[in-house]
Amino acid sequence: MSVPTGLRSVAQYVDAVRAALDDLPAETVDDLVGGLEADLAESVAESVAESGDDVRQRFGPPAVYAAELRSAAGLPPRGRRATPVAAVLRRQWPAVRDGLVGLRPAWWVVRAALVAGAASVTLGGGYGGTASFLVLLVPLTALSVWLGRVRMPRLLVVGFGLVNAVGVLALLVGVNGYWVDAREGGGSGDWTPPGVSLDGYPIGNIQPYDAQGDPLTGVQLFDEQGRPLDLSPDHRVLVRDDGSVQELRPQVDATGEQRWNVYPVPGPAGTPGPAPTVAPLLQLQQQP
Amino acid sequence: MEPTQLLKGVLDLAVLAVVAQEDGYGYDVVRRLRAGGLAEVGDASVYGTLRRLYAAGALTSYVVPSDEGPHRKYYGINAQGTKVLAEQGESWRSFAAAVDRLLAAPGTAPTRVLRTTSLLEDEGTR
Repeated sequence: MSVPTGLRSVAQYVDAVRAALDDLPAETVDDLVGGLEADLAESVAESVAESGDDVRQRFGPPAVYAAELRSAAGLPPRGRRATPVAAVLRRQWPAVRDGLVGLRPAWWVVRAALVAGAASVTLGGGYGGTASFLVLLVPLTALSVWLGRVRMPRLLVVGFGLVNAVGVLALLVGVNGYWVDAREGGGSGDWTPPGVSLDGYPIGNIQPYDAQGDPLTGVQLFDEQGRPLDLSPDHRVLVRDDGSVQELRPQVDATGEQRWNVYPVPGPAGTPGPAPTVAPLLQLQQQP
Repeated sequence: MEPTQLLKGVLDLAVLAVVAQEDGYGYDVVRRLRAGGLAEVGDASVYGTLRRLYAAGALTSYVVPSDEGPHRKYYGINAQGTKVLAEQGESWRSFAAAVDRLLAAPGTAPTRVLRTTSLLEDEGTR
């Protein structure tokens, strides 16, 4: 075994021992492991010369070696709860805490919004709820920020922590509820009839007029993507004043296709088409 | 009693005695302990003991850089350590003397007891 390789493997061994001690304060670990590399290197050099044993054969598993080291040093054995994850968390905690402290102002606003939202829902939903939410939000935010910055007795701090926890739970439940509502709403509440509709209800016909207020016929309507604005298939009928129902008949184009986007859709043969009973409400001004 | 059990009780004393003769780094102390007859002594036990005695204020410590490899950490005894060595050395001598007297007393035959035990064990296993 060459010297550099031996030294490197000793260094790796010392690193492993150090890792097995990482539940201890860094200063203690440095005290324990400081100078260890030189001691081990010399010991290994001897054992290699005598028996050919390398560092692991000479000293056994690093964890066992570390346990003997700390036991002889009068330190407590590695705790069961001091898993590597816990050790990492403990080491990272200051950074995490600083990050959370930085988020506190945002939390002050969020909890004010939560209380305002809960209050406005209690007072009643709709526009009134929105208004009361906005009215409540400003003073509640001010109060929340003040509570966040003021120094409180310890007991109050604990109590407030509980209130905060309840607030977070409420937020989670609320968000979840909203999400479920939105999802279910997409399935049923937002159902729209096929074809052209107005305010959610299918329309029976379209009566086009020109700029002079004169009724037009044979007007083909398309949307911005070129899709025909067809009359709803469920409402291709004409309901007369006497309650009788007659089917409308669509325009037929040159290829024989029925076109339901040509307005006004005429009534059945022998009956007058939908009369222009609706007068134009305004005459458009002539564009220059 | 296991030799290692006995060793644990007197390792502080033995390490202090070795360092009191001359300053030494970890493996140097191990080697001198083994050369002195404590062949069973474990490296890690000695290193840990050195750290503990240092933390307890019985030893001084200094680092000697090395051109060839990692630096060496030397330990030396201080006034506190010398005092501990004198006190513990005294208790050890009286303790060892007492055990010696017990072992040398007429009528004690530890060898016979041991032999009986091993015979019984042999009967049981056969």
